[in-house]
Amino acid sequence: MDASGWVKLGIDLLPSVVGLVESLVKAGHSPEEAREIVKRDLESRQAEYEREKAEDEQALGDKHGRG
Amino acid sequence: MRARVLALVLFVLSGCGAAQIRHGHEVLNTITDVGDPTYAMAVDACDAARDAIIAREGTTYEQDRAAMDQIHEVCDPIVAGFEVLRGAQITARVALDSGDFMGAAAAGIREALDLWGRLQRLIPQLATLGRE
Repeated sequence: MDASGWVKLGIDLLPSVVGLVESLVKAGHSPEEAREIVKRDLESRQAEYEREKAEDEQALGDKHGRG
Repeated sequence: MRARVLALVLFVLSGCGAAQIRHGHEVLNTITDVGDPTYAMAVDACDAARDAIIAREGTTYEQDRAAMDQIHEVCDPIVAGFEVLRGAQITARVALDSGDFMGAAAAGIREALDLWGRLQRLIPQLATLGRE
């Protein structure tokens, strides 16, 4: 993933991750425990998927001179 | 995996307090343990299928377009499903840690398991990619 992809992914994920860590700490977990729990959620791969899909659509257009 | 998850769900729904919260997280972590590599595999498989369409020779644009659309029809719902599952996981964890383990947390865990079950039925479609 290029730098802009990571930035977009970070922006997409940040609110939910921050909110979850806050709620876990408020519930009595240590920050380390909260981070461990957050780390074990499914990783979002949507941005990666959409980027690769767009690149391949462009490549298909280029292949047939429709880019 | 299913038996382990069901046992944990039963424990969560019948237990109390801290043990329920801990085991609720274990159910969600079990989904992550299996779901995360499956999600990665699905994204890779979709990319490889599209790459094969681009690399093949002797086909018309219409043939390639149709094949690419077929891949999107399989892959888009799988990726969307994993994202919804991820959201359900996060929601269930927040509910667990707020102490609402008989209401929102239990509902969230049930939803996550249901979503995972639906994804398990979609994943085999990846094996059909690239076949004409």
